[in-house]
This record gives sequence, structure tokens and C-alpha cells, in this order.
Amino acid sequence: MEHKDKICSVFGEGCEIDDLPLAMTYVPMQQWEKLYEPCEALERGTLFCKLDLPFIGKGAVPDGK
Amino acid sequence: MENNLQSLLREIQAVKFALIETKLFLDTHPCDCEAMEYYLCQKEKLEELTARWEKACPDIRKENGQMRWAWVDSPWPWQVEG
Repeated sequence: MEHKDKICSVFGEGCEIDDLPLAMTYVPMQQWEKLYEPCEALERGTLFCKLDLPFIGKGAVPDGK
Repeated sequence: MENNLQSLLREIQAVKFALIETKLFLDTHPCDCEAMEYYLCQKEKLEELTARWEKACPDIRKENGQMRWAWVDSPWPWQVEG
């Protein structure tokens, strides 16, 4: 589901990002997808590619690669 | 510690880790069937690997009719690389 659709599904059709309440966080629900093999998961420290965000002094690196 | 035991132990550790991660996911997604299927499959695999390990490194050994608590002999944690 596109990010925009998610906002609309929660806050109603035609809702723009600027219409959203300030200082309210939105944490998307994790999906069961894109798993590492157990051996690689143990190396990476997570089973889920999407949570593999090693901090390398600049910012989170998507998928850790 | 022989190589095949080393890799067996590593595999047990990996499958256990995958199970912990899956349990954490299921805590917040109790109705996710795909996750539950994965959990059951990994759990079965862990039981099989553990049985193989216990066969190779039994906690109690029989030596010429004498029983021995072999756990004290099996590789100590610092003797296990990785």
C-alpha cells in the first residue's frame, strides 16, 4: 500500500501530510517479509532485512548492504 | 572441537536466533499464519539439530560399563570458536 494511501486510510480521503496533527508519531506495522536465512540473520543481528539498519556514523543504511 | 560439531553448533545457534526473532514478531502479530508456519518449521529443525548434537555430545556417557557425567568433558565455552 502506497504511503499516501496509508495516510488516507487512517485520516480520511484527500488528507495531505500537512494536514496531519503535529508532534504525533506514526509507526508503520511491521510486515512478515524479506527474511534472512538463519545463518545470515545471526550475522546481521536481525531476521528481517528491513530492520537491518547498521549505524555507520552517518545515518541508518537501508538493508545493511 | 571437530569441524562438523562446530558447524552443527553454529547452525543450532542460528536457528535459535531465528526462533527468538519470530517469537518477538508473533508477540505483536499473533494471527500471522505465515510467521507461525515459519516458527513451527524452524522449531522442528531445532529439535532435529539438538538431537544430533546430544547424540554426538551426550551428557552421560558409558565407558566400559561405567557411567560418567560427560558434560564436564565436552568442549567448554572458551574452547568453542565463533
